[in-house]
Amino acid sequence: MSWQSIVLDILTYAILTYSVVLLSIYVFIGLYSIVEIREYLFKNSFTDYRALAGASQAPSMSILAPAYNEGANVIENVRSLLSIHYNNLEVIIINDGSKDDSLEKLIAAYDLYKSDFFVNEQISTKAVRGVYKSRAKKYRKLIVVDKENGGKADALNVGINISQKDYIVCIDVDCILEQNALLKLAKPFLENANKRVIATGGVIRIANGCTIEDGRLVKVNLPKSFLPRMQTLEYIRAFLLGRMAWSRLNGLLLISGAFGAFDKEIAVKCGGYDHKTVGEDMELVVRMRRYMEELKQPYSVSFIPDPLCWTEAPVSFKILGRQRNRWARGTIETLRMHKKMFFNPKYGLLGMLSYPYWFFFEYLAPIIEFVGLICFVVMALFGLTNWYFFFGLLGLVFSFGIMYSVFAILMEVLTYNQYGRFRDILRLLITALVEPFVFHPFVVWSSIKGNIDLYQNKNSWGEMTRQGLTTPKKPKLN
Amino acid sequence: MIYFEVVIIVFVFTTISMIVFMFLYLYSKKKKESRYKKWKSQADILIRNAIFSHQIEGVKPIPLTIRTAKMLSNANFRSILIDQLLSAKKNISGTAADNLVYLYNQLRLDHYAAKRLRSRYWHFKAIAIQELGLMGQKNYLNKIYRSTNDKNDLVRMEAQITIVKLYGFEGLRFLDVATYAISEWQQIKILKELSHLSPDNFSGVEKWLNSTNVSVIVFGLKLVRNYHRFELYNQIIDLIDHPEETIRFEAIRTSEKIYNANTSKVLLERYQHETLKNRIAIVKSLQNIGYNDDIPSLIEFLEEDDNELKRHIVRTIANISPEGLAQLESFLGSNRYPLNLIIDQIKAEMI
Repeated sequence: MSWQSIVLDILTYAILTYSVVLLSIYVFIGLYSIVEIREYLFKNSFTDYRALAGASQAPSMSILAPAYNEGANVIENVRSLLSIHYNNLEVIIINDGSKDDSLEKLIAAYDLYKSDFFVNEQISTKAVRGVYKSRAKKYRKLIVVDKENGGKADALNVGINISQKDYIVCIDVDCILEQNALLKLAKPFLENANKRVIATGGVIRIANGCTIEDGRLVKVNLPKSFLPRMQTLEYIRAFLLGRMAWSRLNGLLLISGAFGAFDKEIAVKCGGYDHKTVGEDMELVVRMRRYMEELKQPYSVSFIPDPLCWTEAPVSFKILGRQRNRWARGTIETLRMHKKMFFNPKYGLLGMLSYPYWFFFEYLAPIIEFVGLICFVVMALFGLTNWYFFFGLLGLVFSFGIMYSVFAILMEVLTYNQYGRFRDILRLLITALVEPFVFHPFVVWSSIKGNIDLYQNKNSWGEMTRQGLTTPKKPKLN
Repeated sequence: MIYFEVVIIVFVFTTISMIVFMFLYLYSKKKKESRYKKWKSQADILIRNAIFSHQIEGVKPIPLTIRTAKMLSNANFRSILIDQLLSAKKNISGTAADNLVYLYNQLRLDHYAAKRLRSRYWHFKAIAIQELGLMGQKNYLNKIYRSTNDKNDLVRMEAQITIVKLYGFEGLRFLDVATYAISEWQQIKILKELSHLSPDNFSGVEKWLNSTNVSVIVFGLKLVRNYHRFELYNQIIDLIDHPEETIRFEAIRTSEKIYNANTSKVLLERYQHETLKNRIAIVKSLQNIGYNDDIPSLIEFLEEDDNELKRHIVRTIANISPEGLAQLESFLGSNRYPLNLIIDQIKAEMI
């Protein structure tokens, strides 16, 4: 047996083993999520959220929405946030040193004045230029903070410093929230008498193609454009299956920065958002969990499968690439910062399962996929490729990917059925067929670029140009 | 040897099966929806007739069409009818609501609920309890009462709510034996249920304040607070020294609602021994029950490091007396950061 064939065999079986373990985990996640979703839906059928809407004991919440150059839609976005059903609420908009006229527009639209407000700097941030409140009683929940530009994490930290409530809800200002989103998000904090719920996440859905009027979602439609539709499928898979299963295990490491609620006391004790990473949303959750583990206090991170928040997905490969590049860098940075927990039994499930899963199957997966492909190409050039194995493994992975996506669509149909028409379901199924050949390779490539950028110390956020969800003349995207 | 073909065929077959199932499900759902629409309108007519009928229970039954009577043996129709009945009952009261209960009894729908009550699946059991509660079925008291300490939290919660719904404050006696924790969410639901009823000096709360279940004590404190049970003042003051932080927190908040001339002194004495959260609770309570005499002690507390606490203290001083702020401004350090900014903020708030 030549050394080449030994190396080839090792490589072949290593990739096969990795693939089988990865697919097995996906099968487990898929099946496990069914149990959690089923239980949630049963429980939800008993829940009358009106009890919470009027209760004086409802947890107090601050919505923190950083805004940078959002002048085009900021008035509408704030109006949408102010219309949310929740009594004990304040809405804090943080103008992160916008270069456009966002602040002037807000001042004019909401009759704001610069108020005397002591900013309790529990977390160190860039300077606050002013805190604005409205003279109009109907906008009494609104606080607008003007600060020097420091990035999203810094803006959120200013929001935490300003907040006077017990829980913070961090969102992207251009997200559209369901009217009862906060009632649903608040409930997990009240439900568990034995464990402290430190954070709750909600499902994010793609708003492209949906009808939005006056900052409210009026009709759900499947995006007509290729990329947003791909992301719709991807989000269904990730939120409905992945996060529900991890939530049931109490091993969730990520709550999307676009929409999540946190226990402010714990967030402050942990030092708030870290502005050194572009994955500040994941990093905060990991740090809060680590903090609780080190204190040995019982806690949980909760997740609810109801579609509560709608966001605009990138419509071009360029913007999508930047987003996925950033996500990859954020993951690596977070894993690096908390490498102490890797297979460390002191951190329980967090150290022994959640962290290793993210390391092996979220961080390493695109690298292994990419390197594996290059190896096969090199071996093919030298005539060493076992073509049966190559096409067999490729077929296995692709057919599993399609099966998993179809399973996610089935779960969506059986639960929320947001895209109820036969035609839309059919289009989603076609999307599932196409995804492994077009979308997935692009996502892998963006992730590889993220790894390279991080290695080269490029740590920019990457500009995320958005088209906006509401325009009077053209209410739909695409 | 790896048989990729076999595995791929299994995946493809599973995928196709799921797609076929999905479309069959959507098709049957659509079919069902049109059938259910008819049944729903049939049920609506029956409910409307019941609401507007002037029957007296036991004298004359609400008239049923032959078709509706036949349909009652259909479990799906029955389920739609019950759903409609429950949703109507939630939204109306008085004679019309009594008529709905009358219709429910006349159709003997409680028997089906009783069957589900015996189910080994918690979901069915909880739904049955909720239904019996909404329809005022007191005959099932024993069975429901047993479920108030069920190991399943949803069954337990529904049973507790139902007992309160059926027996008002008297129903709270499940607290005597509650071994599981009563979550904040459940407490909110029970308090909401009680808010519709007249308290009539309910009894038992003094016992719950001595419970070994922390959540029962917390709930008892909320009851004392909401219903101003002044006679329990001494017991509440004792709980301010309880080893559990949560209980002390609730006791502080409760003492504010049933206070007397001495309460602020008690709270100020407790202050130094408390956690930050409870210190803030004490300071907030003093906003409403503090006296001018308490201001010097509060000013002393400003020496502490926590700025959030300082903001609460200044707000409390300003609320106790208009002269309080003037007194504070003469305090050494009031013109230094952060106190100067805090005072400016509170002054602006007071305008």
